[in-house]
This record gives sequence, structure tokens and C-alpha cells, in this order.
Amino acid sequence: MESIQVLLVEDSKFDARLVKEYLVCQSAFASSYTIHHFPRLSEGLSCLAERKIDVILLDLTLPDSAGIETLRAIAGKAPHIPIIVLTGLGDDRVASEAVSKGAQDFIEKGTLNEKILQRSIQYAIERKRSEMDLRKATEELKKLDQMKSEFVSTVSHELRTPMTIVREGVSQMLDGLLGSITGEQRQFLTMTLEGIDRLSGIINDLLDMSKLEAGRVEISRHLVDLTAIANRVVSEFSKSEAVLKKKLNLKVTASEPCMHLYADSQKLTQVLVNLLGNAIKFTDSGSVTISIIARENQVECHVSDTGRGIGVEDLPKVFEKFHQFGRTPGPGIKGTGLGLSICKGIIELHHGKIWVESEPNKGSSFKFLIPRYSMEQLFQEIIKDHIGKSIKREEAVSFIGLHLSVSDEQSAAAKLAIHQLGELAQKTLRRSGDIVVGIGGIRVLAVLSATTKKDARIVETRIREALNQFLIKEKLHSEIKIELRLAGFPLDGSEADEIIKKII
Amino acid sequence: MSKKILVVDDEPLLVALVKLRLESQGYEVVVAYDGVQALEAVKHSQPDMIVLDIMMPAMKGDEVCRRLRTNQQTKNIPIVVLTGSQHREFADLCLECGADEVLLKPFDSQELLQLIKKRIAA
Repeated sequence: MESIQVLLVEDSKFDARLVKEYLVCQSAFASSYTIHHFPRLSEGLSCLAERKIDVILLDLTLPDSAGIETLRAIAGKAPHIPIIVLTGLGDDRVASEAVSKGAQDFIEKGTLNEKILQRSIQYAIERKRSEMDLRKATEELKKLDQMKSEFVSTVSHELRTPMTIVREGVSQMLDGLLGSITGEQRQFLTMTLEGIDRLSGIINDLLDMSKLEAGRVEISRHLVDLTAIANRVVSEFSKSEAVLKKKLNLKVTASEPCMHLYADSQKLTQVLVNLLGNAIKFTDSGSVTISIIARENQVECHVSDTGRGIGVEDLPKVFEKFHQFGRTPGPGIKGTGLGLSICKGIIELHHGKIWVESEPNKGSSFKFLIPRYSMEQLFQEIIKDHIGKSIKREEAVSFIGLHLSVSDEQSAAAKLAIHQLGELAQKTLRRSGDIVVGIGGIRVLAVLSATTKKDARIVETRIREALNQFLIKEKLHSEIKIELRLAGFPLDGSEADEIIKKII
Repeated sequence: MSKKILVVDDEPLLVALVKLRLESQGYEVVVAYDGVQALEAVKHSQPDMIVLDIMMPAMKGDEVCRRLRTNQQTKNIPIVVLTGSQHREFADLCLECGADEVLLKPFDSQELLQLIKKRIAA
């Protein structure tokens, strides 16, 4: 049997001799050990470069290094070799920190004996091996997942040009650009066009889902009125053929006339369109109601119908991808089974949650809850989210804060200008990424993901120039003062609090 | 005199369809099938507006935009970019390089006409 190569980094002659004795002289187990002993970290490191080592026994306090730094140096050089830390008496804190920083095990020197040492070595080697296998498997999975996302995005991209050709060709025939058509031809061409639009809807769903899964969806938050959004969606659907044919009663009820919160209005509209569309699809008669209820620091929204309801076996799975339920054979209701997963993704981007309650043949109620953050809380949450994402992707991220200060007696023109400045800043940003506009446009936070501070400075200058030009043109530069602050992660700090202090 | 629009896409059929649609609305249309041709066409026919695809051989649309924007004679011609990609980075790229509007394929021709009308009158 091959002998196990042990690197022992230990400056105490006494402790080193003990280890050697336990491993070599009294080997009771089948394994034999070859020990390479060095008293200094630097020597240990060069040994790692020269030899194939199976396990490292490491004293943390050495002449040329101390504490966790010693472990970090060794682990950095040999990430695939198991490390057992040898600690002094009562060094529990250091020991547990060592294990959390990647050591396989620790042994208190006072308790050292042949059995403990040899068992620890065997286990450490085994454990490290399975850890490496697991890591490899995870990395492969990640790679596969990435490939899948790229595949979906490429395929749907490639589909779009031929679809445009088909759509435009059919639509020109319908518009009579290629000569007059009969009533029957019109009917079939109209159906063809509907089919193409459904196809492009499916592609959009697939792309949305793959972007949500990859964490690549950015939301742009403004102060929006959820009740107004609900009313708009309901009035759109009221005119639809399905609602008119089934004589459904669509309505919005709200506990307060306006329900303001910071949210992405386009994305929330998408959620309500999805939920309302589903409710209408599965309700043959009766009503569909959107209820909006103010809770403490939260908004709750229900989309309830008097439809056929969802079977008990389907309930836990409704938000899963590609899970379709309530479908009847034959023509009629079709979907991708992605709509509700997309809703869930969007609500979660807003830090909310979504769930469903249903009773077969009585109706279903899809409910979601979104926190109502104050602007300060929201800035904090967004910055935290983005720092987390950047760490995961090993990218930089930059933040720009825009402050507008107005003299106490503001004119009507200044009031209007504040709103326009917020919009102008966004337009000049030329990004569709995460943007928050504070109350009345007084403060804007823009997140430039995957952008270093150096590049962000170009954007900052561009915004400053555009805003100043506007103020001079409107003769408001004495009344409104603008200030832009820029912070970059990781350059300006590694914690959200540090970044916030820089820009708020 | 009718306004002149340059339509650029590497898909001849798409170019033909957009041309027909724009002509039916009284616009004069010139066409190009890649980025290099597009720059040539701009020089020769001085269009009032450009409808531009991004993913093309022999110079992509974003590079065309960038070059047009750095030239005094062409920097103010309105550009609508057509793209099949929904990626945020992509839309950002187009706006960053100076496009005025982005239209996602498959687009509704009424949408395109409205965008054109917004920028130039027929």
C-alpha cells in the first residue's frame, strides 16, 4: 500500500516529535505515513510546490505567520489538500473559525494520541475527496445551466427574424397592400396573425423565465399606485371577447383610494395581466375581483374568481415551471405553463411572496404581498441585493445618487422641473437597469451593474451635463441645485452601509 | 418632396416587406444589406431616417450607429434599431451608441410607422 504523504508544519520540536511517533513508530493501522516536517510557513509552502502531499497538519502559530492567516496562506496554495489544524489548549474559538475557513478538522494538542490522529487523517482525506467531487459536480451543473440559458436566448433570438417576415407578410396581405382579398381569406389571415402573436408571446415567456432564473432581470422602481394599475388592467380586459361572451363581472376593490408603493409598474402590470387572464380563462360565469388591502408596511393584493377552482393535487405545484393545470382536451385554453412562475419571480424581485387558495367549483384566489419600503429602506435593500449579486458573479457594480435641493419657496416652474429632471436623468442614463426614483423625483438612485467606478464616472458626467444644461435653459439654476454622488463596489466598501453613506 | 428612409437588414425578404410598407405610406425607400453598404448608402442618398438591424455581417448595427454619430453630417439622422434580442445589455448597447429608438422583433408595422412619424413627417 502506498504511504500517505503528510506535510507537518509545526515549530515546537516537542509536538513535532509526538506526531512523528504516533504516525510512524507505532503504526497500528494498515496505512503507513511519510512525514515532511518544517518549522516555518515559508518552508511548508515551498514543500507544497515540490511534492505531492496527501494531508497537511498545521500549527497556526509559527515564527513567520500567526492565526487564521497561516491557514489562509496554506489553503490558498493547496485548495484541494485536506488540512488538519493543531491547536493549543482551550483554543476553541480559533479552532471553529479554522473549520469554517476550510480546515477539515482540528485536534487539540493536549488530547493528541495515535488513534485520534490517524482517524482524523483518514477522515480528512475522505471528506476532502467527496467535497472535491461535489464541487466538480456543482460546477458542471452550473455550466450546463448557463449553456441552457444561452441556448434559450440564442434560439429565441434566431426565431425572431423569420417571425417578423411571416408576420409582416400576413399583415400586408390583410391590409390589402398586395391586392384585394376575399372575406374567407381575411378570416384565415386574421387567425394566422393571431397564431404568430401567440407564438411570440410564448417566446417572450421562455426568455423572461430564463432571465429570471439567471438573475438577469433588473427592475426599475418608482412610486406607483397599485389601485390605478389594477384599474387599467381591468379596463383592458373588460373589452376582451372572453369577458363579453361570458358576461363576467370584473371589478377592483381597494381599502384606500390610492395605494402607493415603490415598484416596477410594467412588471406589476405583467403580474396582474397574467393573474387576471388566468382567472378569466378558468371562470365560465360570475365575477373576477382584484382586491387591494393595506397591511402594516405591506400591500396585499388578491385576484379572486368564481371559476372551477384548482384540484388539491395541483395546488402545491401551480407556481412550478411548465406545470399546466385545469386544461381540458380539445381546442380552447392553451398556455406555456410559465405565466405563474414568471409572476412568482417578479413578486420575489420585489421582496414579496405569492400564494394561492382555492376550492374546486367555487373559485380560486391568487394572493400576493409586497413590502412597502420607505425610500431609505428601499435604497438599502437594492444596494444590498446588488452587492450580493456582484459578489456571486465576480463583477463590479456602481451606484449613482442624484440629489436635488430646492430653495424653500419653490415656484410652480421649479415643482414641474423637479419631475422633469428625474425623467431626464433616467433618459440620460441610457440604461434599462435598476433605477429608483424617489418622491416627486427629488432623489434618484441608479444601479449600473457590471460597471466599474471608472466607467460609471463617464455616465455621471453625462447626467450632470444634461441636467445643468436643462436648468440653464429653463433659468432655474439659482433655484434648484443638483448634486450627484458616485460609489463603486468593491472600491468604496464591501458593505451596503458603507456604500449608502457615500451616495445618500 | 417625400422623405427618404434607409432600411438596413441582412434578410432581403424583410427589407423588401418593410420597403413595400413604407412606400405604401408615401416614403421614398433606399435599402442596404449590411453595415458597410449602409454607410455607403447614407453618403450617397442622405436619408432623413434610418431603420437598422443590429446583427449583420460586415459591420454590425451598433458600429454603424457609432460611426454615423461621430460624423458632423450624419450625427442628427434619427435611427430606429431593430433587434431580435431582448437582452438588457443589448438594448443598452444600442442606446449607448446613439440609436433613438429600439424595436423588438417581431414588430407590428404600425408601431414602426408611428416611430417614424414621431421623428419625421412624410
